[in-house]
Amino acid sequence: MKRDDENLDEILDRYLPSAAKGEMEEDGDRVWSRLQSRAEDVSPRVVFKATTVLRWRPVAAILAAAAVLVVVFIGMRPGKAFATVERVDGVLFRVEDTRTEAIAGGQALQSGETVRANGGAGSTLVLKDGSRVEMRSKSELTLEQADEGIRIRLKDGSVIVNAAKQNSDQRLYVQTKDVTVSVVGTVFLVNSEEEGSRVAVIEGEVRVQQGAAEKKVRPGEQAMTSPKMELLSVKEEIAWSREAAGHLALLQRTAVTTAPQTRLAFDEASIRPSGRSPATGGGGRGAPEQGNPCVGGGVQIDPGRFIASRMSLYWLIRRAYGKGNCTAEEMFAAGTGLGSGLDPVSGGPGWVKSDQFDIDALFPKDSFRDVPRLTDPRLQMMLQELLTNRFKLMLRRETREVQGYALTLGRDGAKLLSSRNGTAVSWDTGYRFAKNEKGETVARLNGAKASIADLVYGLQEVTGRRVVDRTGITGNFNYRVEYAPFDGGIAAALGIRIADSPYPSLFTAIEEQLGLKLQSEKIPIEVLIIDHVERPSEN
Amino acid sequence: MAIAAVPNASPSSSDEAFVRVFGDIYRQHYQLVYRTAYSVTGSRQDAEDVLQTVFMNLLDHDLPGGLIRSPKAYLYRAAINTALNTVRSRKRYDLVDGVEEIPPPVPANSTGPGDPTRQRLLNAIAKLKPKEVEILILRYEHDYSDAEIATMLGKSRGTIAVTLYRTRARLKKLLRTSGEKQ
Repeated sequence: MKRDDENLDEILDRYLPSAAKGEMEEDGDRVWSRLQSRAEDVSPRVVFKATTVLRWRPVAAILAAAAVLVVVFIGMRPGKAFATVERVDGVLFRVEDTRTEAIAGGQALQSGETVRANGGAGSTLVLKDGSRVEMRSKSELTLEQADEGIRIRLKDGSVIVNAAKQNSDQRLYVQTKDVTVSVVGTVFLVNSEEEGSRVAVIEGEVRVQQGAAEKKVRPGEQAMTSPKMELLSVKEEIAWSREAAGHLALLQRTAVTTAPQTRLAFDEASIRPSGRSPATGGGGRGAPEQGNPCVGGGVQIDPGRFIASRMSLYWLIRRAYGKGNCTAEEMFAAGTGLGSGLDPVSGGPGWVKSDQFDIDALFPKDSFRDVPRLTDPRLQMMLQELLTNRFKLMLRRETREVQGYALTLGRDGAKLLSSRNGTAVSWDTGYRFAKNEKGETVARLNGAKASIADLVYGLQEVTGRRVVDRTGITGNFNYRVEYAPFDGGIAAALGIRIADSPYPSLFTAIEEQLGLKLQSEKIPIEVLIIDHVERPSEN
Repeated sequence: MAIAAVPNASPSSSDEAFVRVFGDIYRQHYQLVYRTAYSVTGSRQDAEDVLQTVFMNLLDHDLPGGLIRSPKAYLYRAAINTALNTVRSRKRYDLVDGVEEIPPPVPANSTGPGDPTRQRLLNAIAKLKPKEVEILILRYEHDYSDAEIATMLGKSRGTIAVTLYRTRARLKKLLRTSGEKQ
């Protein structure tokens, strides 16, 4: 089998066709000119054909593209800068009538200019008053000097504005097609999309004006102009930002409430004890794994209905509050008590984990156009409402420090082998236990085109503790770390006995073989604490 | 349906926006589409045809939602499907014509077109499901990790690992079978 794997890797490595760069660019240019010719061929028909009106837009676009899509780099413009480009990640364009010009970091922007960020993590502008504007990729805005201050017209996309302190007669405004946000000094996000606009506040307070109506939005709150817009948490809204961690920390310090703004609930819901708890053991196909609250009969979702079969309240809480599926190490924590510091849900009576329930709930009509995912915030809100009303669940969030590890660079730097310069020693990424020729157990941590995140994930499973990456290393690598089975974590869960081993400890092996260090550290994690819960009321 | 008056001179602002978007999308992703198509078809001419077909389809139809949400994932999937269709229809055409293809002479140690191992590999890939080919090519041609594939295709890392494991097993079996026939 191993031989087969090696053969396959060699065949793929050697024989999978790979395009030559020069040929690719030559062919790419040829196709682009054909796309333009095609547009010219079809345009006269399109003008007079009603049924193809919708198709005209792209065709017109290509015609225009042939004439106007000229990208040139220009130097800094004269005159006092209205704004300066602080950082460009991807490409930042200046859009003038039918021309686009790429702008580099450090260049100046004048009042009335339109810029568009594309690709990468977006770009950051600094306005003349010191306000910083982070533009998400695919966002377009115009900067204007208004009588009453600076106006940012957001045509499309998202911006996060860190507004400088404003004077009483000079304010910063962000305007979309349907709202105007006025600011005194704060950090907030504005998003403009086809269906409407969204304003989310991270720190301070903004005033949002839609038509004649005006309302204040405070930290953690959002205002949306259309009910059709997808409901996202502020945390999800700012996730694209390079400074998301900083914004999130600010939000956690200043948010007045984490409660959802809009209450969403199932139309009808039936909850029944399934009578097959892991403690007593289930039977038959799809039976739950004994003793593990992370595993149950499964969930079926369609656009009108949510059905959960033999799921524990523990699992429901995790999904309702965005803690996701149990990872392997959390399954150990939840099911075996090992590494209990990892469990993101804590407290409550034993039946929260041991008892299972069948839930059949109907979504309000037209709630979802497609089948929602379990991570859909609207579905999560409905589950939260169900747990609050029927289980009388009361939770609080706490940040706890658990004993974990920080992965850092070793004294002499990393010895990782880039996956671009060599063949992987193993075809997959993960951990293994094997016997050497003397019958001694060796533990292996393998990486094949693996990132540091993959390594961290593996280390968490191996140690049963949180691991944070402080290496700053990016890219993909091939590695194999051989070490004596770690005393705890997955080895303990699998019942692997730790005896005298000729192999180095995990800590030594990581340092010697990868040039990295695994240092003990307290890691903050958010935990949901169950303050109160009752068995569900009768249907 | 009303007939829309289409300006011949200056395009509307939405057209201008499309110009930028379409031009950007082509520049950013044509290499992904081309390289993907080349790996599946093994032919420069087919890769060029696939590239043209994928982007021409965008001209001939309204922009699909998937493209707006995630251009990279949409175009990658389109490239895989179009490339697989190209390979499969070529096989049907060859069969109908009844013409036996004579492989060009292969220099020693070649891995280029006409190499029997390369052809066996391409034939085996053509028999995989599109979802399997998606993951295989991302991994072995574009050098993506499991986590990167999961992010791009909107799947969990576990799903990617399991699918990749099964795909490799199928590929090994297909290669063994074709090797025995030779």
